[in-house]
Amino acid sequence: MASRRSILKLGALTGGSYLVNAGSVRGQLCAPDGIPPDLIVRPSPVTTPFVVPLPIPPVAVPMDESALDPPPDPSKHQRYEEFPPVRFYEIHERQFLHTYHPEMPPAVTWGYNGITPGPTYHARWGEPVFVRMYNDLPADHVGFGIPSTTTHLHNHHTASESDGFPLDFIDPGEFHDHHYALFPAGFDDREKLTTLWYHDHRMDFTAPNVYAGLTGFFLIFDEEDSGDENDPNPIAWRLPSGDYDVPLMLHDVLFDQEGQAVFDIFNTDGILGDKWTVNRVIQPYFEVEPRKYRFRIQNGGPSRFYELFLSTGQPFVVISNDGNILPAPVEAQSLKMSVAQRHDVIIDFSRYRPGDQIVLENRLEQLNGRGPTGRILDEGAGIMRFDVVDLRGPDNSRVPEVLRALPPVDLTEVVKERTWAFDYDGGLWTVNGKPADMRVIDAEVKQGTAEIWTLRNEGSDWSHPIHIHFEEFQILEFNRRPIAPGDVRFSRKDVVTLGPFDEVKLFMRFRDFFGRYIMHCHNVVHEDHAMMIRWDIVPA
Amino acid sequence: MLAAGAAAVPAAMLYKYFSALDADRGEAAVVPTRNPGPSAGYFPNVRLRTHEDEEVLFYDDLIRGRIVTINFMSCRADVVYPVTANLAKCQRLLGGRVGRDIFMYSITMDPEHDTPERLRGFAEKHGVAPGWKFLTGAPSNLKLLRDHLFARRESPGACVVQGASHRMCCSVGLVRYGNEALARWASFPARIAPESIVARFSWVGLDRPTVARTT
Repeated sequence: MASRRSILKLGALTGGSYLVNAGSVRGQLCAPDGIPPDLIVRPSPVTTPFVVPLPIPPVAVPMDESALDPPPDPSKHQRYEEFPPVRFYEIHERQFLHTYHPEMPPAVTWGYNGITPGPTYHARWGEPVFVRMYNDLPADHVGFGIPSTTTHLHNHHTASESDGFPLDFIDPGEFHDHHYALFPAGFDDREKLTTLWYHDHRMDFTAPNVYAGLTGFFLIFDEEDSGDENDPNPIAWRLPSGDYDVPLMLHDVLFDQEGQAVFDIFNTDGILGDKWTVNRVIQPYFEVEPRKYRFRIQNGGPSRFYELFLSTGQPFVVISNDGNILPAPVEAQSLKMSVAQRHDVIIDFSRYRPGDQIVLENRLEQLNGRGPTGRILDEGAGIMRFDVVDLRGPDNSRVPEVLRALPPVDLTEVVKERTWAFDYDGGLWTVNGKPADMRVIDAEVKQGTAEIWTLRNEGSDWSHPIHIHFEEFQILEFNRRPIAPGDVRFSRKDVVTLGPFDEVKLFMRFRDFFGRYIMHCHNVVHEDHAMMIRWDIVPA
Repeated sequence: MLAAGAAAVPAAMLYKYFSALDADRGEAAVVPTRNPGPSAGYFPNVRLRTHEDEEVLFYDDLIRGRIVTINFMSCRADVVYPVTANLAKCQRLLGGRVGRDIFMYSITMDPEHDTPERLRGFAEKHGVAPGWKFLTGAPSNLKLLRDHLFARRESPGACVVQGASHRMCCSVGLVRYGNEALARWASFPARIAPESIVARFSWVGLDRPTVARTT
């Protein structure tokens, strides 16, 4: 529990001045008295790190279309006939008992098909997918979370009715059909995503429902990113694949002494846990061969920011940002990951010998749910450990020097500029001074156009990872400076992290579908406390 | 805590949640509750006084087993950050159900000013009907409620009646809503459209098959 000691120590040294000197009166938040951070007052039970093997979520199994009863209704979907599904899935949200760690009793948990993370979809561009999502959660549920759900595939190019709009929820016993057309935005191959995740998006209850376990991975392959490191196709990248392509879902969780996850539903700052979980087990270990691996790292939240390091000082080779393959691999000593951000990285363990152990560490200090302090701790918290074992076969994987070009930014397409200020008012997290009301359209954008959106954090004391649904954006300026090639943010993205007073200018396009979409803070506690807008795509 | 009614995990997890704060009660007088429900731990059972000058126990008399809304307010803050008029529209939309199926509570953060008599006048001015209580009490009791429900204090000098700093009338724009019997709680912004507010109460059990129907 070194991490907690470090936090306590630093808290004693700096915690007071950190708040007092936080800036203008306007920017300050006055926390309720008598509410010290949960993870100090009520730490989780002690558990032994690195004794649980990393679980890998199973791959979702498609079903026969004829088994769907009732059959899909194409009239409920945009462009269904044009992109008829070739893979069909039926997924059931269920409550179950989950073992986070063998030294704790099983915890009541929610998950897709009764597991968390849910099954990993393997999809291919050009092969549309149909998912029928059933809510089989207990209607008489008592506790945090609501047994009423809406599923967002973050950040697929999805028609509004399949996007998990916060008010498109289903209650126990009901289902909702999602049609994923699996074509890239604007039919531009440079707009393809590779690593996506799906999670609940229920109005007012996203944070507890996600924390309860409603998350999973959705991976999309194509001829280049083919998922086969031995692929004879000359255009295939041959990235590490199969057992060497590993999704890692990070959540920090707080437990009570009975081993049950606890969640303070009234804390509007954000929720921190003191247990680092990967794929929903506490501090696992993972046996690796001395060869290359692809890890798809996802910060699942709810409110924790990470800066990840390898204990040996080895850099990461970053190949994607928010699921978007970069123009070229970027070597990075650390990975900054706010909530909902994801990176695919290559780690080459060939420099190690069997018996070596490498720890994936978080060294970013965060004392409350509002955001990180920015301080890098000397002593990292061990998220998981890689244990090197013997090589079992040849490593035929490669990391190409050139990956996926960025689609061009054409400013002549821009028809409108909008500014969105993220702030705090009267206990609410606001956008342009207003709290979310999903019946109100905050912006109408015209299909087929482009816009420039400027996002500004008005707070001195908090951070917001802002997520925009539908199409990936590119950053034109961050604090009035362009992003240079070689920066991992020189990329398409769908989450942008606004630290105190940060301002970012984004290039956005709106193609192919109509309907209701949203932008929100992906600190899901902020989202649930009103930091969300609705924007609609309307005919030009 | 995720507790199914009949599952191995007792619904008492939330009740325990704030036990570590017992030492921080200060001068507050918490009356042991007779029959704690699944989210009793969030709601200190302190004595309060209503705008009708009744004495009530917060948890036992107002919260247990009920669908409620709770907001922190003050008559003076409502001048610069008005919320009560909008909540009154919600009460009118709910008709006679307030006081029977759902209960509304507005707790003052300004007890020195907001006496029961002033609160009564304030309620009358807004056309408040039965089933919605404005509450005041000993400052120590009110502080404990604010702490448990994460209502921010006004920073010194910031929460004034006049002037631009009204924005720091902390937490007056936020309304908690929920169903104590289900330990299901969330929040809505006090000033959004009344229709958007009223639609939420079914989510926590008001006339809702989410609760009554079995899967």
